[in-house]
Amino acid sequence: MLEAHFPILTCLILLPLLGCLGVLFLKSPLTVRCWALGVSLAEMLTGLFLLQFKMGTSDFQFIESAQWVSAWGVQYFLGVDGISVFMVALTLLMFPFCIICSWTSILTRVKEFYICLFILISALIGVFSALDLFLFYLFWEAVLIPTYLLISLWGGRERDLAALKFILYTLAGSALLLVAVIAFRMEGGSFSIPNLTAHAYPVQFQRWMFLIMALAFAVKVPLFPFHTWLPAAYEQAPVAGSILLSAVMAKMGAYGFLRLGLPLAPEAAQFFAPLMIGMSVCSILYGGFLAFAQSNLKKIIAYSSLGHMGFIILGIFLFNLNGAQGALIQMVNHGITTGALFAVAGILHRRSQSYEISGNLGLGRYVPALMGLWGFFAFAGFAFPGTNNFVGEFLILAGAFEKNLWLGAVAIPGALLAAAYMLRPTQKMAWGEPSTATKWRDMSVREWGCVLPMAFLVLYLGLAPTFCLKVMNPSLKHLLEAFGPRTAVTLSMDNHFSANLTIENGLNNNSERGGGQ
Amino acid sequence: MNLIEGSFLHPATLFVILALILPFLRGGFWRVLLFIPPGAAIFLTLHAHVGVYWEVDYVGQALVLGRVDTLSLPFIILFAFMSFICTTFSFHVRDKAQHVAALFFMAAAFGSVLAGDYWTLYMFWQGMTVSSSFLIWLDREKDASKTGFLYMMFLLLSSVLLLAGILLRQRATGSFIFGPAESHLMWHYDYLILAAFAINAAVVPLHAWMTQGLPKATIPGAVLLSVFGIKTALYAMTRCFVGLELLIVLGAIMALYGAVYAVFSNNIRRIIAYLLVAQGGVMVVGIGMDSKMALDGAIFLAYAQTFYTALLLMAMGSVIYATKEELLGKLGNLVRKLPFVAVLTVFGLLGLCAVPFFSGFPGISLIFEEALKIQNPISGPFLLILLGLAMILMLLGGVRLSFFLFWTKSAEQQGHLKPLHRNMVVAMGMAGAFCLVQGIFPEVIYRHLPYPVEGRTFTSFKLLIGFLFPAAGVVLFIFLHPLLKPRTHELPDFEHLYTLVGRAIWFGLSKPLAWMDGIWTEIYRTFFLRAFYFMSRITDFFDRKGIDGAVNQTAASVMFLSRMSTRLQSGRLQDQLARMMLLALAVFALVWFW
Repeated sequence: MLEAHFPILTCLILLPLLGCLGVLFLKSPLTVRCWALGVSLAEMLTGLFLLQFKMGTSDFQFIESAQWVSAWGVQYFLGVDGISVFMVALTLLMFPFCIICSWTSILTRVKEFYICLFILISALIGVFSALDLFLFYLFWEAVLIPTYLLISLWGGRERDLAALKFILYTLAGSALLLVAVIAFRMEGGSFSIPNLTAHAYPVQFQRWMFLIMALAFAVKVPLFPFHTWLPAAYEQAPVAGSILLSAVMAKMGAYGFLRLGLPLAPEAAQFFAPLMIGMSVCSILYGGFLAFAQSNLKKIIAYSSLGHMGFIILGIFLFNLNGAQGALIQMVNHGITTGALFAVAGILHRRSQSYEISGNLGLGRYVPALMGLWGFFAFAGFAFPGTNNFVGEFLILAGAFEKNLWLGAVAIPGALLAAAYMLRPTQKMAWGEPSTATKWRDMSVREWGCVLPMAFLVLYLGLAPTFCLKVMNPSLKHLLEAFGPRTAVTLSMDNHFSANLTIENGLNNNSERGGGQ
Repeated sequence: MNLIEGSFLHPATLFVILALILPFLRGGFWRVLLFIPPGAAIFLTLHAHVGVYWEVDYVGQALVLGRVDTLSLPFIILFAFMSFICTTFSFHVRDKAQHVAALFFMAAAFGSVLAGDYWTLYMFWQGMTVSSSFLIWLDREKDASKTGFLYMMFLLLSSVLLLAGILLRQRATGSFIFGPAESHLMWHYDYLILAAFAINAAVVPLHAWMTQGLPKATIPGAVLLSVFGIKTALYAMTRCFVGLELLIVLGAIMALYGAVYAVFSNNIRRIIAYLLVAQGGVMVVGIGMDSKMALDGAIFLAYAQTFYTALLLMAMGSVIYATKEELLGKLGNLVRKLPFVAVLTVFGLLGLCAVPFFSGFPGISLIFEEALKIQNPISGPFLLILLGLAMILMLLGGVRLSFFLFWTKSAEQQGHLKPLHRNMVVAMGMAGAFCLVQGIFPEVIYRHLPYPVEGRTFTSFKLLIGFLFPAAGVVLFIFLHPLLKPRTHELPDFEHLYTLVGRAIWFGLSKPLAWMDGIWTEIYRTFFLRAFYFMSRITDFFDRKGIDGAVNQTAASVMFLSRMSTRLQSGRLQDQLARMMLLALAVFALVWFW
C-alpha cells in the first residue's frame, strides 16, 4: 500500500461538505449557483492530484488511515487502486457537469438543491474510496437521503412515488448488506477490506454472503428483475439527479461486485456466476426491448441503462481479463455517454417542455447543432466504432466469446437492439413532421460548455483507450489472479466447547466438502 | 525507392479532414475544395505500391489500415475515379450535410477496401452504414426518413453478423487477419461473415434494403450508394470467398430475380436498382467459380458496372431533377427535352447489356466463358442458360426503361423542365466516356486485374453472340411491349417481409414486455405498496394504542395517584399524626410477620 503524503481523498470528501457550509450564507440563487460551480471546479482541480497515481501496481494508493471506533475495530481507512480511481474520477467529472446542467432548471429551493448535491457527491467519493467495510456501508447509506430528496423535492409530477420506490428498494438491499458487513467482521476479525480479502472463508459462508451482497448490488445496478424502480426514478428525477443516478450511482452496484463480491467470496462468485450471467443477459435483452417500446426520451435512456449495465455485470462475471477490462472501462464510458444523453434531453426539455418524442420533432433543420449532438451521443450509445462505448462492448463481447460461444451469441443481439432503440427516436427527432422546433434557438454558450467536454471524452476514450487500460490492468489482473486456488479454512468441531482449525488446500477439495466437516 | 514509393498516405485521409471542416467553412469557395480529396485519391492510388502500411495498436490489437495488393489496388483506383465523377455530379448541391455524408461514405469505402484485418474492416463497415443512411435521410422527404431507418437497421444487422463472425473466428483461429476462408471447409463464423457481406452485396433475399433505399436517396446519394456500397461488399466477398460454390447458386438467383423485377418495376431508379442486383448476381457467380479468369471477369465487370450504373443513375437522377417525377408511367417523350441524357442512357444500357465495344462486354464474356466449364453445383450449360436468360431480361428491362422514358408519349403532360446544371452533364459525359473507352480498349482495365487475361476479347464468336443477345432482346421487346407498359403499382418484394418482422418484434415482443413491465409496476404499487401501507397502519395503531397506550396509561396512573395524594393533604396536624401512626403500625406488622 502506498501512503498519501497529502490527504487527498479526505479533501475530496470534505470539500463538498465545506461547500454546503458556504451555501448557507448565500442569498441570491445566482450566487449560490456560482458558488456551487466554483466548489465543483475546485473539487475537480483537487482531483488532479490523483494523476500522481502510479501505474503498473495493483496496490492501493493515496492511503489514509486512522483509528475511529477502536472498540469495534472501525477505522477511517481510505485508498484507491486501478479500479476505484476511475470511479472517483467519474464522480469528479460529473460534479460540475450536473451543476451546469441544472443551471436554469432548478428555480425553487436552490440552496437546498445544491446542498443535497454536495452531500451526494461527498458520499459517492466516500463509497469509492473507502477501504473499511463499515465506512463503505456508511457512505453507501449516506447516498440514499440526498438522492431521495433530489427526486421528491425537485422531480416531476410523480416524484413522490418514484422517490419512495427508489428508497424502499435500495434500503431493502442495504439492510441485507449490513448483515454481510457484520458477518464478515465476525468471521474475518476486521473491517479492513484488504485484510478481509486476504482471509479465506468457508464455502457455505461465502455463498450466503455473496447472495446477500449480490441482492444489494443487483438492486443498485439495477439488474433484471430488480429494476422496476429505475424507470420511475430516472424519469421523475431532475436532470442532475438522472445524470448522477445513471452515470455514477448505478456504478456503485457494479463497483460493489468488483470490490467486495468477487474478492471476498470468490468461490461463491464462481458458483453463482451462471445466475449472474443469466440476469445480465436478461437485462441486456429485456432492457433493449423495453427501450424500443418507449416514447419518452428519459425512459429510453433509462432502459438503455438497464441494458448497458447488463453488459457490465456480464463482463465482471466472465472472470477473464477481456471481460473485466470491458466492464470497468464501460462503467466509465457508460457514465459519460448516458450523462450526456440526459443532459441533451434536459436541454431539449427546456425548449419543448416535454420529454416525449412527439414533442421534439423535426429538429434537424432548426436546431442542427443540438440535433447533431443528440445524434452523436446516440451513436456512442450503440457503440459506434470510434466512440467510447465501442471499446467496452468489444472487450466484453470478446470476453463472452472467449468464455462460451453461446454466451456471446446471446449477448450480441443486444448491440442491434441498442442501435434500434437509439436510432428510432433520433430519426423522428431529426426529420419528424410537423416540426416542433420552428421557433427554437440552437445551443447557447453554456450548453456548449456543458456538453462539449463530454463529446471530447467520447471520442478520446474511443480512439485512445490504451492509457485507461494500462491504469486498470494490474488491479484487474490481481483481482482475477485471486480467483486462483486459495487456502480455505474449515472449522472442525471436536467437542461442544472447543474447535480445532483444519487447513484444507485448494478450491476443488473445498467445494466438494462444503463449509465444515 | 523514392519518397513517393516508400510512403503511403491513406486516400481516405483528405476525405475525412474535409468532412470535418466543411460545416465550419463560409462563403462560396468551399465547393471547389470538394475536388481536392478525389484528385488526391487518383494521384495516390495510381502511384500506390503493393505493401502493408499504417499499422496501429488499438486495445491490444494490431490494426492494419493500409493493405495494398493486387486485389485491393484495382478497387481503390476505381473508387478514386468514381469519387471524382460523383463529386462533379453533386457540385451544384449547396447542402453541406449531403457533402459531409458523401465524404465520410467515400472515406469509409476506401478504408474498408484497404483494411488488412477484420477490426479495421468492421470499423469502416459501420462508417459506411451510418454515412450511407444519411444519404437517404438527407432527401428530407417523409418516406425517406422511414426508409432510411429500415435501411440502416438492415445494414446494422450486417454489422452485428460481421462482429459475431469476427469474434468467433478469432476464438477459433486466434487471428483477425482479413483473408480468404477455406471455401471447401467453411465454419460457422465463415457463414456469419458471408451473411454480413451478402446483405451489403444485396444478395437475394437480403436485397430489399437496397431496392427500397436507393430510390429514396438524394440524387447524388443514389449514385454514391450504387458505386461504393455494393462494390465494397463485392470486394469483401472476393477477398474471402473466391471459389465458394454456394455463390454460384446465389449469384444465379440474384441475376434472375433482379432482372425479372427490373422488367416490371415502375420507378425509374428502382429499375436501375434491380438491374444492379441482377448484375451483382453475375459478378457473384464469377467470384464463386474457382477460376482465375472468372475472378478477372468479375472484377472487370465490377469496374464496368460501376461506370455504367453510375451513368444510368445520374441520368435517371437528372430526369427526376428536371421533371420532379420518378414514375415511369408519368414520364415520356423526353428525348427532345433531354437529348443528351437520352443518349447517355442508351450508352449506359448498352454497357449493361454487354454489347460489344461497350464496357460490360469483356467482363461478361469472361464470366460466361468460364461458366461453361464448371460442373458443380450447377452444370455449366445450365448455368449459362440461366445467366443468358437473366441477360435477356436485363436487356428487356433496359430497353423498356429507355423506350417509355424517352420515346413514348406520356399520359401526363410535362410542363417546362428545370434545366440541368452543367456539372451534372459533365459528370455523365465523363462516365459515358469511360464506358466507351473500357469497351473499346479493355486492356486499360486488364493491367489492373489480379491475373493476366488469357485469350482475345474480340473474337468472331464472342462478337456474334454479343450482338445477337441485344438484337434478340430488342425483338422480344417489340413483341412484348404491350405487356410491359408501366403500371401504377410495384410488385411486392421482400421489404414487406422485413416490415412484418419489425412489426412482429414491436407488437410481439417490445410492446408486450413494456405492458408486462407496466403491470409488474402496478402490481408492485397496488399489492406491495398497499401491503406495505397496511403494515405501516397496523404498526402505527399498535404503536399508538399498544406501546404508547401502555406508556400513556402508566403516566395517567401516576397522575391519578398524584391527584389522590393532593386530596389527602388536609393541613390538620391530628390527621397527619393519625396517618403516621397507621403507617408505623403497617410497617411494624410488615417487618414482624415477614
